[in-house]
Parts: sequence; C-alpha cells; structure tokens
Amino acid sequence: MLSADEARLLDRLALGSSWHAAATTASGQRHTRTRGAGIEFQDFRHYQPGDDPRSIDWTVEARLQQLVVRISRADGHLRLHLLVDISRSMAAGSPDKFAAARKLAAALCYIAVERRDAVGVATFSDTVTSHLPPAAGRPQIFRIFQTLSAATCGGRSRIDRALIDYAGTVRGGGLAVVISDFYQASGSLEGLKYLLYRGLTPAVVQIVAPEELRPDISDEIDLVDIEDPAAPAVRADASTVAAYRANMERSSAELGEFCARNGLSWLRVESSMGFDDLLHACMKAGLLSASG
Amino acid sequence: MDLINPGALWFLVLVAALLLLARSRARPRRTVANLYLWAPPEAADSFQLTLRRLRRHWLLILQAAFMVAVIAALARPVFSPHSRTAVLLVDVSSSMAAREGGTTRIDLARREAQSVLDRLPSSTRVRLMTADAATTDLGEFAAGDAALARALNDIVVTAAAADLPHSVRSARIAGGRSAEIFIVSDHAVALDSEEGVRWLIAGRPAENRAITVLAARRLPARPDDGVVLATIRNYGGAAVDSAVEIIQNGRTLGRQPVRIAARSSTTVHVEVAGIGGTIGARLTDSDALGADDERFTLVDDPAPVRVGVVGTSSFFLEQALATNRSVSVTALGGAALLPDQFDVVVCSGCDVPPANAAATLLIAAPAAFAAAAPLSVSQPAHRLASALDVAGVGGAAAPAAALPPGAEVVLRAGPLPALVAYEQQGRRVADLRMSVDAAGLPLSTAFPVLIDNVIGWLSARGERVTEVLAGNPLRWTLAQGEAGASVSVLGPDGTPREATINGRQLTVASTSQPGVYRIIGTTVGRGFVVNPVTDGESDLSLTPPAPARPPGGVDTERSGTAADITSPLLAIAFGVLVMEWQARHRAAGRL
Repeated sequence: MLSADEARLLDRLALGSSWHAAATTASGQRHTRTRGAGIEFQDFRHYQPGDDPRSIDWTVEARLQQLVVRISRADGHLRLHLLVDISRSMAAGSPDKFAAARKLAAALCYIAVERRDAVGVATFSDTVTSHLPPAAGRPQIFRIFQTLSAATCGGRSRIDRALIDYAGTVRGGGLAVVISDFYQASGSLEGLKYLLYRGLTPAVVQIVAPEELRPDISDEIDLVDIEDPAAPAVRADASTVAAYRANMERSSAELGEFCARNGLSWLRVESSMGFDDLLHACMKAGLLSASG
Repeated sequence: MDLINPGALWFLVLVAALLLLARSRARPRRTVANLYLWAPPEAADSFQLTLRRLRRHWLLILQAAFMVAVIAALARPVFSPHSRTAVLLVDVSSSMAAREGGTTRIDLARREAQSVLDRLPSSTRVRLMTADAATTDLGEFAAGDAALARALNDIVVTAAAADLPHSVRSARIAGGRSAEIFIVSDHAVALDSEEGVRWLIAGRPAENRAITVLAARRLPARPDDGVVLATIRNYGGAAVDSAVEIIQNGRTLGRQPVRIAARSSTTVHVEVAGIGGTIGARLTDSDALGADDERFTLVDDPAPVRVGVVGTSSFFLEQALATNRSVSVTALGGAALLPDQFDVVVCSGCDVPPANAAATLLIAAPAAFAAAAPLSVSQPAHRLASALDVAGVGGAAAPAAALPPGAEVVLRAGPLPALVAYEQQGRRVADLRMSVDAAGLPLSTAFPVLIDNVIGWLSARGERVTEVLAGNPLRWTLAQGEAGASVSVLGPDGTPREATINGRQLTVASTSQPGVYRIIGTTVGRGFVVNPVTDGESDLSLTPPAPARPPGGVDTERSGTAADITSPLLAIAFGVLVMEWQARHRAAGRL
C-alpha cells in the first residue's frame, strides 16, 4: 500500500494541529488545551448528570457539601475516522479515483498510527459497507490496509445516507476524513452536517479524475452512468462540455463554501496526482502539517 | 436555370445515404461517473435549440453541402437571362450551296447551328425555320432533342433567293416576342430591329461566275431558225477564261470560249438552226457555286393560231387576218363549229359567242350604227390596246347596250363602247361593236394592229410564263374544259411536284430546284423552266470575313447565350471542403 519512500515522507508529517479531538484513550504525542480524562489536574466544576462518578472529588464534597468533578488536562489523542467512498463511480477515471483514495487513506492511517492516534476506516457506497473502529497501535495499520486492499468499488453513491449511518454508530468525537468524489445529485451536505452534529469534525477530500475536470469530447457521443448503465444515456458533444464544466465547478464550490463556513478542511485532488502532490495538497488544506 | 446534364442529380441519392448513415451510425459510448452534471441548460427558445442542433451536426452539414455542390456542378446548370424559346433560322438560298474547301456553306451553317444548340439548355424550345423564297417552319423541338439534329441535317439548299428581313419577321411571329432568334447565313443584312437577333455567319468570300441571262428567239425571216443569247458575269476579282456550251433538248450544239474580265459580264450570241424546244447554256469550268452555271429557256411554239370565221366575213377583216403570219384562217361558212376546232372564233354578226367556241371575237351587226365618232383608247394598258394608235381615226359604234359583268371597254367611239373585252364561262370574248365595213377604223393602219392584238389576246399566246426563278410559283390559265382535268407536273429529276388547280388557274409552287419541268394533262403548254436566282446570290464576295461586322451594325457572335455556372459551383464545393477540414481539425483541437 505504501512504499518505503512514501513512508519516509510520511514520517515527517503529522495531522493538522487545528483539529480538536473529542476522545482520547491513551497517551499520544499531542498536547491540547482540551479538557479531557487525563492525569494532570486542571480545574473543578459542578457535577452534571452524566459525568463519570469516579471523577467526583469527594474531598471537596465533604468540605463544601457540593458535588464537584475534577477536570484533568487531555493529552490530545486524536480519533481519526477514515471514510472512503467505494461506490462504483470511484472506479471511473484514468487512473481510477479509488486508487488515489486508497493511497491517501493509507497515508493518513500511517501518520495517525505513528503519532499513536487512534484511526479507523469505513467504506461506504449507499451505506456503510465495512467498518473498522478507530484503534491505536501498529496492528491497526495492517488491519486498515487489509480492509482497504479488500475493498472493491461497487454500488451506487448515497454519500449523505452513508455518512448519517456512520455517524449514528460512533461515539465520541474525532476527525472524520471523508474521501469521495462527492458525485451525488442530491448533494452530500446533509451527511456532513450530521457528522458535525454527532461531534465529528469532517474533513472533505474530493477526488476527481482529470477527464472529469476536462472532458475530451469533440464528436457526439452517448454518456452512460457507470453506476446505472440502464439509465438513458445522455448525448453530449463539444458544445455541452462547457455547461458540464460549469456544473462541475458549481458543485465543488458548493462543497467548498460549506466547508469554509464551518471551518472545515476541504481540498480537491486529481486522481492522476503523484504522491508528493497529494501530500502537498493536504498540507495546503491544513489536513496535514510538517511534524515538529 | 436549366441543367445540361440532369442525370447527375441521381447522385443526390448518395447525399441521402450519407445522412441516413450518419443518423444510423452508432454513436460512441463513454462511461462516466455521473450524468446529472451533464444535463444541458434549458434552451431559451426553439431557435436556440435549432442552433445547437446545427452546431452539433455542423461537420455533417458541411460534408453534405460539399456533395450537393459537386453534384450540382456535375449536372451542369446554366443560367440564361434570356428566354427559354429560340428560333433557329437557316438560310437555304442558292449561295449556301457554295463550296468551301472540302465542304459547303450549308454544312458550315449546320455546324454553327449545332454548336449553338449544344450550348443552349436542353429544355429550351427551339423552332427550326428555313429561309429562301419563302419561310418554312420545320417544327419546334427541345434543344437537346435528336429530332432537331436530324431535321437540321435534312435541310436542303434551294436555288432561290432568301428574303432574310421577311424571314426574321416570320420568325418573330412564330417564336414569340421573347424568343431569341439565331440566323445562320453566309451574310448578314440590316433588319428592322436587331433585338434578340444573333447572326451566325458561315462561309468566306469566294470567286464565282454565273449565267445571268439566257434568251432564245426565232428569226423573223426564218422562224425555223433562231439565235441564243447568253450573258455570263464574273463576280470575282480576276479575269477568267471559260467556255459556254449551248444545249438544245439535252443535246450539246456547240461550245464557245469566253473571257470575262473581273466584275464584268460578257454576252455570247449563237445562231441555232432548227431551233425549238428547250435551250440551255452551261459553263464548262467549275467554280464555287455550281447552281448558277446552268440556265434554260423554252423556245416559242411556231404553230399558228387557228382562227375560224363564222358568219359573213368582212373584206377588211379578212385582209387584216391575212397579214398575220402567225394566224391560219378558216371560213366555216355554214358548217357546224366543233369543240376545240379553233383557237379563236370570229363570229360576224353575233351578239353572243357561239357554242363550242373557245375564245370569240364578236363583230356586231346591228340594224344601225351610231354616227361616226373619234376613237379613243380607254384602257391603254390592256393588251388589246398594245401599240394601237387611233388618233384621228373615227368609227361608228353600235348603240349602247348593257355590258356583261367584268367587261372592260378598251376602245370608245365617242362616248359609246367600241371594243369591249371580258371573260365569260372561262373563255375570253372581244366584242367589237363597230362597223368593220364603214370608213374609218377599217381603213386605218390601226385596224390590222387591232385585229392582231385581238387574236393575240383571245389566243393568250405569249401570255403563259414558261420561265420562272427558283422559289417563285408558276401560274397558268388552263384551257376551257380543263378546269377539272388531272394535271401533273414532273420536276427536273422526274419526280412529281405538287400542282393546285383553282378553277382554270394552275399553280405550281414547288420550284426550288432549277431545271426543266414538264406539265402533263393540259393543252396550254408542255412545260416550263426554273432558273436559279443570281441577283444577290451568285456574288459570293458579299460574305464578310468573320468576325467582321456586317452592314447595319449587326452583332454577330458564335457563342451560346446561357451562363454555365459549373465552375462557380466547383469553387463553392472547394470552399465547403476547406471549411469542413478546418471545422474537423478545430473540433479535434489540432488547430
């Protein structure tokens, strides 16, 4: 999945520090100001229903007759959720978009595991087709790589539904990197919004093929949907390319504007990009940063 | 616009096949990740949709346009700003038979005519007409019709002269106001109007000689012998030595050499013993036009006029008749008059012509004559008054009586008719209403002249034309009783010629061929000759060298009138091909 050179490149990278992880389970290498279940005491607050009873400071209760809980400084363990679209449209393109998605997911997984972050992967088409919950440790890399390797493109795109389904199954926060082409007529913003609602922080990585950005059409041809070959073909020629490209840009811009409004990372990469260019794009979008 | 080669339009089937193939051709299919982004924008209106459709099929449209342009060029379209009817008027007068190298002017004329026909749109209606003494309409054809070419080849030259201005007027009437008239001739003449007229000149100036006059007369002293006079004209620019053969009834009597100076005439006199029948003259050397190298004439019939006298003859009348050597007089006395017994019957003391009489001289015998009065000629142009001098001569006329219908008073004695001429029941009657015994006219020198005129008019001797120019009709008055006869006319080649009889009027109109014609079935004559027209036809130097402008500013050209737009169509096709190539490369992004 990753070559030695690519691994060496990834060793110098880390996930972007602007992301706020929801839950941490072990010591990682990330220091944050976020209050969490860590060792170092930070502050007291009044007990609220639902708080862990073990965090009640009974000394204060005995003295002040008030239930207070101890707030400790979190040690910044990120829970990284890799959501990879494996619908049939991801098989389109030359090179196909799923290869690029898999490469990127693998890179993010490697970085997270090396930083002792928990990382999990889920594949989806019209629903979640496979789910490997986030976990830390090197064995998780291999489990994730195996999941990614075994995945094959198929099914129709229902991104919002798949994201909603996934958000409903996870607990706690984390960074949810959604890697897809985001080709859904009804849009995928509802799914992203639900991720936010469920405490996940989406990062949007749209992967498109070069021929999807710049279609090479001179004569009249019939276009067939890869996910629904039985659907009526659309007749296209050189005169319809401009309208398509405008629609394409409008769709991507809508996604980008949503992410910008919600302070989310968003980037669009081409499936023909080299590994270096892919990482550079992630760094530019704030998804990755140089480790230091 | 018309098509010279309409059959090329069948290639349009290929254009239809191209369109069908394009329509049925399976468009390439491509699998894409989504279709919703490919939905076309809503068209503003049907015009936008049409434009989009045209843009989509622009290459196919250009390819079809290229094929259509090439096919249209193959069809050879011609655009003629002029009418779609034309008249081809071919001069078939005598001069068109002139030799031009190894061909003749009429052959050159046919080639000129055919070249014009080849340039006309095949659907043009062409009326073919010939011009000689008359204008003959040979029918209307399509320009590309093979029958027109055959009719053109079947045109025969005559020995007549052409009246081209008259023929052009006939052509305008036949072809219509908008018809274009093509005149094929060896010379152009001034017309009333040159509008719509195109001259096609065939032939070049040439040297020529012709026998222009041939006459034969019996010698008065020796009627059995005669003299032949032949005039030969040299129309050329150099003197010529030639010879004239004199022929009688097909037998050559002799040959007389002649030398004719340039542009001048020479007359030959030849005495012929035992002259009679048909006399011909022929030039022995050949020149450009052979039709005018021969000429014929008929010698007068020496037989006397048979005159029968009925009733009591007058001394003076007998003397007057006796002095005429061309008359044989027979007194019938009381014998019955038989039909056709005499050419002229003199009926003394008759008021009406006797039965069985042909032409009759009535000599009045009234109970009393009016007082003598000076004679005067009332009809000087009448043959009865020919050379008649009655000045100072008096005569006693019969009392006035009703004149028959159509009667002409030739001579008057004072106010009274003295000599009346008329025709009654197909026979001529001269009514001499004067006394032939009293002093006055009978004693004058005018009386025998008058009697000679009367006999000549009644017998119609010399009145029958025996020589006509080619193209002119022959008209004879048949003898009484021959009105319903079957008269046949044989041409010089022995073939029958059409002859029409209207009452006693015999007309032979088919005289285009020169030579001796025989008439069978009438007693008024045995035949006549047709001679070629030399005036205006034998002078072959009149033909201007092409492309000189004939007198009158006539516009002469040898080209067609329709504009062939094949080349512009081919240029358009090439332009469309370039556009298609550019559009294809632009679409492929290689420009």
